[in-house]
Amino acid sequence: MTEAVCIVAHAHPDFSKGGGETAAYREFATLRGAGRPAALVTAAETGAGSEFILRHAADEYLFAIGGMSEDRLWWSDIADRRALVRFLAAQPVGVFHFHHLWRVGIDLVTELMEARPDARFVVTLHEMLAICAHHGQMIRTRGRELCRAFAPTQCAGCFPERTARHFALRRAAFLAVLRRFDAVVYPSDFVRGRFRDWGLVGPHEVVLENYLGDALAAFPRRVAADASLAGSFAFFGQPTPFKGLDVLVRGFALALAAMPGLSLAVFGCEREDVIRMFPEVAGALDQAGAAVSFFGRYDQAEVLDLMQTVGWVVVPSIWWENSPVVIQEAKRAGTPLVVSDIGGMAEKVRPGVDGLHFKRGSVQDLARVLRVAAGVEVFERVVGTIGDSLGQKAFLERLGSTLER
Amino acid sequence: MHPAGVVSATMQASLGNGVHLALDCLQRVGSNLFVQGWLTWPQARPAPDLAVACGGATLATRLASLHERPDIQGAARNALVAKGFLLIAALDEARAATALDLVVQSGRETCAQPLPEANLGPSVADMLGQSHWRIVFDLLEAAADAPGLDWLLRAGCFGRWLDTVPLVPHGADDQHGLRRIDAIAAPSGECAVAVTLPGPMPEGTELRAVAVLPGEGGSIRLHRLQGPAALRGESLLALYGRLPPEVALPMTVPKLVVELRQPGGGSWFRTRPRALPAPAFLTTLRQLAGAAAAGDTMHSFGWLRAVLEDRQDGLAPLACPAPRALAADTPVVAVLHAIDDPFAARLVLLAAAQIERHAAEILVVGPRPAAEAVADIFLQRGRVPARTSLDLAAAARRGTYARAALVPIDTLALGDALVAGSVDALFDRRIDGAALPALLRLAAVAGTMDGAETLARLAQLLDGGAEALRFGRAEGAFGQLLGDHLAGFWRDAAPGFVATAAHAPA
Repeated sequence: MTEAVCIVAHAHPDFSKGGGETAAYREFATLRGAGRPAALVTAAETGAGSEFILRHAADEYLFAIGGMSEDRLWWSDIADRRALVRFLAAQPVGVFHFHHLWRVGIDLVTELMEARPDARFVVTLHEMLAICAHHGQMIRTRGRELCRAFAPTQCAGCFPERTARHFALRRAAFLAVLRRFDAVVYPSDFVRGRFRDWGLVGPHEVVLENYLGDALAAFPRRVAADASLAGSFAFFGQPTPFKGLDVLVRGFALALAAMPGLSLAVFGCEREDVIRMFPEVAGALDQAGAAVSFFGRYDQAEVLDLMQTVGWVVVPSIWWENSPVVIQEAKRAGTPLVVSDIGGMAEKVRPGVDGLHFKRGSVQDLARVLRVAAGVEVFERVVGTIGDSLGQKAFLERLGSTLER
Repeated sequence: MHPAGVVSATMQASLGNGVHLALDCLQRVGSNLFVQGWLTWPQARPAPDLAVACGGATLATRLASLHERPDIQGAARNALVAKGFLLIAALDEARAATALDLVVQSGRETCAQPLPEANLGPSVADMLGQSHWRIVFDLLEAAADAPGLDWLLRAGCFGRWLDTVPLVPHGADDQHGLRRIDAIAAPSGECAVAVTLPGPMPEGTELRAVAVLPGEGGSIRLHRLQGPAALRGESLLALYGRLPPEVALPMTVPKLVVELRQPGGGSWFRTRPRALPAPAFLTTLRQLAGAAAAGDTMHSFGWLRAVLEDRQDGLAPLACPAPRALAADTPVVAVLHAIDDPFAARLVLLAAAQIERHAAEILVVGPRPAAEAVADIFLQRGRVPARTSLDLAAAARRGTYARAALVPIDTLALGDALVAGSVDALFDRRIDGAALPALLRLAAVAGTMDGAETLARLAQLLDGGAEALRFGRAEGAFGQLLGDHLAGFWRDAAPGFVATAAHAPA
């Protein structure tokens, strides 16, 4: 590794805790830790009256996004854009690594490429916003039907106020800029497949899982199964419409009725949050009674600890999930997983090795799989085979070859 | 709208054999002699022919007509026929001062009456202003057709009369005893008038119209509407007509002077028709025809088909340019269209550098905010000028792009080309900028006068886009017929707009 790297991201983890910004920051910290010069430049809500570009910490900078268009893909304020281009172009780096185009700007990337034709440009596509206008989730806006491929006419069905032509133009704009990158990093093979199907071919492509960071990488893993935890399940996350917590609560209640003694711990939200989002699960929660516990928000630094207090981590999302960090964390903790059988979840959790799969969205199948998982023999076997998440050495090697190629 | 038109004669003479002549007006205007009056002759004889003679030689007659004069009393009692007459003759300047005779020939009988050497009665304009409107309308119609009568227009002879004819809105109910009046016009020089009577239409009712356009020096130009016979319904008459092809397209909306002639009377009015683009004009015409036919679909459909055939024959030759070769170094104007989407500007930014390599100027056509967003990309970059509007009529008139090649670029095609790496190929197909006047005529005949839409339609058509040949919903048999008719103009004309490559000199 020789050339300095400028990492440009849509947010800074000091201000928001999303997976993309966390991955960008961990890359920055890990590169610097490994002795490679790096700068981190991220979007931020810096507040009125602030300077457009602020120094946040050593080699860390924030830029304001008030001058961007409403969809945060474009700069309305040309002076802001040009100032940011000048700032970035002046960085003494040979590589620009973007995480997301959202809150960064298609136009900014294009101008920076014109300004720095000598530099190498890499982008990590953490999600599928370029493919799907529905927050990149590839799930229909009405109902929970999964979307398997981009089709302008279907997109117009999801957004009746827009035309199929709009979606064709949208695709062309994203595709035209993404194809100019020298390399594209995908956090999962699933995401890579979706972008390939969509038409993104040309740049060097790498599937590289996000690195959890040195602190979590150094955390001691569970090495032996505690049989008493076999019937103990946990959910980590927010009760968003697509995380499948409603499916989990109802599936767990069914499993509990057939197999008393199971327990479910919900980390990340309270009972009221769940009922507010999914009023229909109130009955199932009442039925489960004390077997379901809510622990509210948790400190990210404690996540591996918490995961090691349960037998299984359940990821019941009804959308694809590109490369869920919670799966990486559970694998790091050594806690097996029960996951929906689609997308990034199905890819990252090898059935029978890292955990078990159930039919996405199926309460009955989840109940069946939870009962299977609660069997001591199955639990002990999976604890013995579950893989670890990506380590620092492997991450640096693969990232380095991508940045240098 | 039914003036009596009674005029007091200023000179009367008996020519013998029962022929009695009265002159109301005699005016020498330049090389023209205008005579109006009345005469009687025995019922047993045929209606006389009138002429003016000078020294025994008959002068060329520009117009001679007889008309009813119900105000002449007592003729029938004496077994005579009484008619008004109007005579316009070419006055030989060499003989202007020579004595003139009015020659009346009825059968084998010829008699002559010396005409006064001085002008007699009111001016022509005043005379027409006092005359029965039927007479004046006939003269107006004749003046529209006969070049020898154009002096009447230059001399402002119809001005007073036209000012007295009521001006009615182009779509109005209950006007001067008529239940409904509709009038429409298209920039293709087409006009239509429909008049609905309060009751069943009497046999012999006729609808006629003359278009009045501004002429040089404050004068007017007249054109009779030419087209198929009017469509007759139970109580509605619809008249369609085109102005002659020599009227430059696009035509400004004329005023129409309309006569509804009925047995024993008539109605006259002026109106400024509602201006519609050709497709909307024809669709509205269909509605008017449908109302006239009152359920007889075959009748109206047949009439509309005749209208479309008439306009196809008359207008198609005007809208087809001849293909021309352009030199390879002809300046290129990139015409960016179909830009009404937030991602259009984003795509253009991505392609801006490549576009600038080919184009000396950028023309962005489309809705203003979107066009400005696209043009702004080039303004920011500051390498080539960018414009955001196309006034096709002005560009054609001034020859703005006459020495340029226009390269239409649809943003979706631009996106595909960007992804495929083939933006340069978009510049292979060029429209001859000198063909814009023909495009303007094509728009007038089968499109809208929106320059952006017109150019975009042509570009789409050249791209093979079937959507370019659609003109709104094609409802029913006529909708389909109309769609095919309009598409035919574009399909036939399109190849002529594409510039061929000039051979490089050896």
